[in-house]
Amino acid sequence: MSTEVKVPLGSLYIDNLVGSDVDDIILINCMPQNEELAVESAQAVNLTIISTRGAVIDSDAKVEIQENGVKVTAYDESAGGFQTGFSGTATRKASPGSGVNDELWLVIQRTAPWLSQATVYVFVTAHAGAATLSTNYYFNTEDTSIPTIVECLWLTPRRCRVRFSESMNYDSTDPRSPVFFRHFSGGIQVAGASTLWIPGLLDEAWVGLRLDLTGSVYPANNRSRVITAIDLTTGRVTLDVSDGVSLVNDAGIDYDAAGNIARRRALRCTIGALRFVARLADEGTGMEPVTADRIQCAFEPQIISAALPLQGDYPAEYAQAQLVVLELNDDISLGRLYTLHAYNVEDAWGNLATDASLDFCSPMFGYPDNRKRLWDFWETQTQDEDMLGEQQMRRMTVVLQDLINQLWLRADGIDVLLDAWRCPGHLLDFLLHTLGNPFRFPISSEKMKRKLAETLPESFQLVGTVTGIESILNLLLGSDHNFQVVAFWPDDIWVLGVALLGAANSPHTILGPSSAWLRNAYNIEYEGFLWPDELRIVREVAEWMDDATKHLHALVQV
Amino acid sequence: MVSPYWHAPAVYQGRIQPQHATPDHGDYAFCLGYDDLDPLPTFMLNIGETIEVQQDADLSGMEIVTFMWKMRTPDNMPQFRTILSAGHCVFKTGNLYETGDGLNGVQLDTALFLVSDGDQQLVFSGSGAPANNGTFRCASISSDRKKAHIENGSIVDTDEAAITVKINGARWVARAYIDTNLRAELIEPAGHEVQRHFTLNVSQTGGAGIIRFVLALEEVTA
Repeated sequence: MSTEVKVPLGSLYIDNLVGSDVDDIILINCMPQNEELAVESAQAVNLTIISTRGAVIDSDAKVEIQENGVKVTAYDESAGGFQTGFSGTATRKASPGSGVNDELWLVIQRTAPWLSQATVYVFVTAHAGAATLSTNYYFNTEDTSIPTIVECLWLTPRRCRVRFSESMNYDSTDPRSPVFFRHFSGGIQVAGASTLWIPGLLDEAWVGLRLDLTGSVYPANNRSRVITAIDLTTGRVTLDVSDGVSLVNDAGIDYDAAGNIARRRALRCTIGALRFVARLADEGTGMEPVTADRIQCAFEPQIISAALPLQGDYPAEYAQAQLVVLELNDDISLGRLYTLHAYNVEDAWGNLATDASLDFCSPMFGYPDNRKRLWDFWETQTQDEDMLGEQQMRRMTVVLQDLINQLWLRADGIDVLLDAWRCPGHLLDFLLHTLGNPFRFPISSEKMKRKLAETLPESFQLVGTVTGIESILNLLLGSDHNFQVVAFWPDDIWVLGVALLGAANSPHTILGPSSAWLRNAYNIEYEGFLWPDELRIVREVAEWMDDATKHLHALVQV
Repeated sequence: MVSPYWHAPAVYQGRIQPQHATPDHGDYAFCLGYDDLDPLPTFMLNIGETIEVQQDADLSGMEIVTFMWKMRTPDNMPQFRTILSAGHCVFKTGNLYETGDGLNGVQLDTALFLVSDGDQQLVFSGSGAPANNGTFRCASISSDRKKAHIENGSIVDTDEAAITVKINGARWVARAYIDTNLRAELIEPAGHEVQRHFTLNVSQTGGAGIIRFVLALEEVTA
C-alpha cells in the first residue's frame, strides 16, 4: 500500500559543530531554552543532565519550577520522581562508550498549561560522583488570554474608536482581524430561503462572519446574519436563518404590471466581524411591563470601514493595534442601549474570541437631555391609555423622538462648524480652507488639523515674530523639540564699526556683515530627532511666518 | 542526484547562506530541507522517509560537541482530524462517480472532506466488513466534498451507519546521532522558530565517531 502523501518540505538549519571541554556535570539540551519567548502553553520542559567524567548521575536529581513567583517541585528523584501536578519521563542513558548511566534525560509535562505571558524559572540540582550541578534558567510563555472589548469611545454619531484589551491581528486581509471588511454592491441576488448569490471573489474563510444585507424591498432580507457556508463554485452564500425569518427572493429588479423592468435596485452587503446590535430584548428587565422605559427604538447602523487610528490620533498609553476606528453609514441613535459584538476576532498572538462584546449606552453628544420630549406632549390620560393598551402611540413617538434627536444634533452642529475642537472631523479640511491655511504640507492626523485650525487665527497676528514661529512649531510638532529661533551670526565675523578689528587668532577675515542676507538670516534650533516630513513642516512654517526681510539659514539640532 | 531533498543544492539546500536563519558562526549554515519563504514547496513523499547529513569526526579529547539547530515547521503541514464520528458512509467499488467508472471510494452525506484531503492518508474504522477498516491513501476529493477516491482495491461495497473516518497528519522530526546512538531530538510547533543550542555528550567516546543529523517525516495519528 502506498504511503505517499503530499507535504511541504521542512527546514532544519545546522550551524558549525564545535568541540570543547566543560565542567564535570552540566545541563544540556534545554527546551524551552534559556530566555526563550512565546513558549506554547502546553510545552513540556525537556532537559538533560550529563556527566562528562563517565560518572553515574546520582539518584537525587531535583527540578523546581517557579511560575510568576510561585515555586514548586516538579521532579525529585529522592522523593519518588514526578510530584503532584507534573508527569513525564525520566530516562537514564549511557553516553557512547561510557558503559554506565552518565546521563539523565527528563521530559517534564505540567498537568495544567502555563499561565499566559508568565516568566518561568527552572532550577536544577544534581550530583554525579563528587561533582555538583546547581543552575537555573528561565523562559516566557505565550499570550493565551482571549481579547475583549473594553471601551467604545464615540467621536461623532458616525464614528467611534473601539479599544480591545490587547493588540489585535491587524492584517486587513485576514477574516480573523477586526479591521477585515469586504463590501459588495450590485449583482447580489437573494436566491433562496437561506442563500444569496454574490458575484466576485469569495473565500471559505469567511464562514462564521456576519453578512449585513441592505437594499432589498423585503425587510426580512435587510439584516445581519451569520455565514454558514460558501460555495466557491456557484458563488452561493448560505446564511443562518435559525431565527425563523427566511429570506425572500429578490434580484434587485422591480417589474411593472406589464412585466417590464420598472426599476433596478442595488443590493449591498458587507462582510465583517464587528456589528452593533440594539439591546431591545434585554432592556429594562425587572421594570413594570407598562413602564415607558421598556419601549425604545435604536437604529442599527452598518459599519462601512474599520481601520487602525492614525499616528497621533490616540493616547500614547495604548498600543495602536489595540484600537480600531469604525465609520458608520448613518448616525447611531442617541442615548440608546446597544451591544457591540466582535465575532471570531483574534489578537496579535492568535487567540480567538468567538464573541467579544461590550454593552453600552450611546452618548448624547452634548445634546441636552431635558430638551423637548415628544411623549410629554400627550396628556397623562392619553399616555396611560396607550401604555395599558397596544402601546402603538408610544412606539411611534420614540421613533420620531429618535429622528428628531438626530436632526437637532445636526442643527446644533452648525454653531460649532468654526470651532476647531468640535467641528465634525470630515469638515476639518473645509474649516482649514475657510481659515486661510497657508500651508501645503500634508497633515496626517485629525488632532494635528484641529491644532492647526485652533492656532491659525493667532498665528496670522504673529507673522514676522520669533514668538509666532516658535509657538506654531511647538504646537504642530510637539514642545519636546523646544524650537528656538536664533539669529544667525557667525562668531568669526569682524563687524565693521565695532571694536573687533584686529582680533587675535581669528581664523577668517570676513568683513561683515557684508550683506543684508547675513544680517537678516536666522537658524531654527531644535532638540531630538525630526523625520524628513517634519523638517518640511519646519521649513514651510519658517518660509511663511518670518518677516519679509528675514530668511531661514539652517535647521540646527542641538 | 535530483530529488525533492536535493534539487536546489547550494541555493536553497545544503551549505548555503540561509535567508531564514542566522548562523552563529560566519555566514553559512547547512540546511536539510528547504530554505525559502512560506509556503514551502510541496512534494509527494513517503511517510518514514528521512534525509540526513553526517560527518566523520575524531572525538578524542573532547567532552562535548555543540551546534545550533533551527527548525521551521511549515504552516501547511497536514493536520490530524476526525472527519466523521460513527456516521453514515457508503463504500463504493468501481462506481464512485458513475456506474462502471472503475473508481473505488467512499461517499458521505455531507461535505465534510476538504479539498486539501487529497493525497493524504484516510483511516476508516467501524465497518462490519473487515476489508473496509484500515488506512487508505486518498487520491482526490470530489468538488462537492462528499466523495473521496481511495487507492486501495480491497474495499467492498457496503452501506454502513456508524463509520469513523479520520485523516492522519504529518510532522518533521530532527534527530542527532553519534553512530546509531540517539543523542538529541527536536519537534518544533508550527510557527515557533527558535535558534536552539544543542550539545552532544562525547566525553566517553574516546576516538572516531560519525555525527549524524536526520530529518524524518513521521505520521501523526492522534
